[in-house]
Amino acid sequence: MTNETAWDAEVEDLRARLLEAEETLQAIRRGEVDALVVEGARGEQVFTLKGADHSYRIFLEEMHEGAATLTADGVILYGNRRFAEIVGTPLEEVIGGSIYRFVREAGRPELEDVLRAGREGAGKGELTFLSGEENVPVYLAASALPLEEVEALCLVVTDLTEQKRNQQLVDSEKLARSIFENATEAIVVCDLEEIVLRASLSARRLCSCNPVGERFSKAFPLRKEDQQEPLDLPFSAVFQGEVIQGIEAALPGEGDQVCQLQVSAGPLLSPDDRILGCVLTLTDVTARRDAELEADRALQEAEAANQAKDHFLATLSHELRTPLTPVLAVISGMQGDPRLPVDVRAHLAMVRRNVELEARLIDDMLDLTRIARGKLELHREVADLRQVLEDSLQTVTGDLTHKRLRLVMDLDGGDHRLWGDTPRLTQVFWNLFSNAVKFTPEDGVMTVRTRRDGADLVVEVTDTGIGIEADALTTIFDAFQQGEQGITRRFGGLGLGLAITKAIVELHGGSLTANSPGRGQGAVFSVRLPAGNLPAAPLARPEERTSAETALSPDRGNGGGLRELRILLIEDHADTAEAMAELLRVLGHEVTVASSVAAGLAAAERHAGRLDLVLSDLGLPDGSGVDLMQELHERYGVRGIALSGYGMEEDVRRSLEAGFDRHLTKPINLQALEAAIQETARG
Amino acid sequence: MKEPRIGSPGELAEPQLSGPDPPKYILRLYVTGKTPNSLRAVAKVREICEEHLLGRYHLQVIDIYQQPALAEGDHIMVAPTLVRRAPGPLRRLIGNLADRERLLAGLGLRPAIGG
Repeated sequence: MTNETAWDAEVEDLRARLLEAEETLQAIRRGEVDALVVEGARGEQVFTLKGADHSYRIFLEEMHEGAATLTADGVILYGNRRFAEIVGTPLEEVIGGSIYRFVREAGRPELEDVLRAGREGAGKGELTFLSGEENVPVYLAASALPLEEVEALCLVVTDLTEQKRNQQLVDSEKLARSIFENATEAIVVCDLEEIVLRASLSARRLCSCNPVGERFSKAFPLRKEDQQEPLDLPFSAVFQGEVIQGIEAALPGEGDQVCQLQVSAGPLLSPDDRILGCVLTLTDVTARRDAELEADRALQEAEAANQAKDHFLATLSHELRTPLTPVLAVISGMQGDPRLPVDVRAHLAMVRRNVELEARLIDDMLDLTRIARGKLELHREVADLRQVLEDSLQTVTGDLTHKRLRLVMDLDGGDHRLWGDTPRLTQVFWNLFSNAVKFTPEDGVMTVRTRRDGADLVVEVTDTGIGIEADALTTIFDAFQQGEQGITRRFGGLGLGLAITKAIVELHGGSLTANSPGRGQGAVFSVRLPAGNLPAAPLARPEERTSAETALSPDRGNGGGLRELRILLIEDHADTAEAMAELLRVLGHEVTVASSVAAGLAAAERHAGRLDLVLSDLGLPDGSGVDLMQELHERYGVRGIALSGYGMEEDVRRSLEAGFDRHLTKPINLQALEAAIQETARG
Repeated sequence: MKEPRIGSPGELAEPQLSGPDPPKYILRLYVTGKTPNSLRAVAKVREICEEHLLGRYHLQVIDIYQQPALAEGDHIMVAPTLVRRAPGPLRRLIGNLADRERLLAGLGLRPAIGG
């Protein structure tokens, strides 16, 4: 019986204990138990499910850093969620694994060092962890963790990715702000409502108020370039993504100041490419614009000055020559007057010579200025050099005879034609011949030699005169140079001749050189002219264009059979008109004088149909002789000769185009005038 | 292997049981943070596995504090608990998991001694 009761009791006991255990377990499961009592190494320990260590645990679980407990050889015994996040692996796969899974092979030694240092007390370092395939920069702090039985390390892992990114961001932010603030450009950032969000230092200076928070158009009231109308910037286009550049605008400033600006604008984008607003740049171009205006003004002034100079030269020449015309005309007349005693006529010849010299000096000066300004033009035609030489010689014949100089002419037998300006070439050789004559003492010799050299014609003028010193050989061609000073006093002149001569030769594509054995041993002047570039055209007659060829003999050739003409003379300079009219009447012509375009027209009308010739000055008080001639030619079919003091190529061309048959420049040479009249009337 | 997914509640990545080399032992260790029991359990279990099951096991350690939802899967009641999911029938081992002999027996690596 006892066995059964004992058995029952035991079963009962077991059942109770089991029930208690089950209940305990159930209670624990249901969370109704706050703590468990656990048998530990040092007696009973209370193991709390919630409670005192709760805050520490939460701290560890929730902290921003990764935390792990490791064994000495790197087995992870515990890790928090953050740690798992950093290494990109689920937590349940992290705990129980090795920490060396999360570094590349190359990074192992570094990690080992940190852990070793940790075991010895404390270790730290910056490493690179692996998160999947990506590298994660981390900062590790390891320290020894005293625990029973297990030698453990406590590891704190800080993810540096964000910090590095932030640092970069901070650095770039600082840089951007610095750039923005210190830009010389005015930079303005606006939102989609055109309200100013930010403005650089330069931009704030442009604005009279604080622009931030204001509408852009209020803070910066831009006007169009001409400052009349307000300028509306195309904000809507910019907010659509368009970039605009280089809009010219004016911004009124303090007082009368106006800033000239160039405006550019572009959309402001968020990192994910949404348009947040716009960025405008206002570049101050005031200084540049002022400089441009200044440059324009200076250019205009320079051009005006240039034109004034040209005009001055033309006028100067005209004014200087004008008084010479009546003087020469009268003297010519008087020279031919048989009633005057011979010695008086000789004096007149001297007066005439000097007046003509004066005229030539004026011409020289004008030529020189033209050459200096590159404005000397050649009028080329087929010219006969032989004829030119003979004509030039004519002018010095008198002096040759006077000084009893012998002339030797040795002209090549061949073709002397070349493409050149006949009057100018005549000027060249007249200058060389007159120099030779001038600088050779009595009983000397002047030689003129020509020859062909390839495609060129070479003319050598040799004299037995005073010669040229070696060091003067190069400078004699300079203007105002004459070799030694003494020469100027002995021989006079301005020394312009050779400078002009050389320029004319060179304009023809040729060259002029001088040679001399030395003082007192004569000189050779050598002119080389290209003669191979002839077009197929007949010889032209030398036209009288400049007064360079004025020094013809004073005799008045009055061949028989000259017609007596009805001439209309239009000249506003009273003395000149009077003198010329007188001369023409002496020649037997009937002369009507008018002193203006209007008077000329009126006179022509009175004599309509009965006029043979018009002689007209070009510079008339109420218009141009050119227009007058055109009119007269159209109306009455009458021919004309133009007279002008300018002698400028432009004038000559225009006068010939207008219907004048010829053009003479003052001072008028009587012989030339006579010849011209006869030819025109005859023609 | 599937990509590691972090923090998806109620899901545990199932290791592949098919394929060229499936792990023979699938173990889940449930611990409570870094309590000494938990740390010891992790250390010991791993040690045994490395020693006797090298290359043939997959161990997942679940901290029931940080991942409470995952604890429901195997119906554990206390922690630490070691659950053997494979091979063989599900076996729960509760108690001192730092005991080598007990662990080996519980994992079926030694003939069972006692309960």
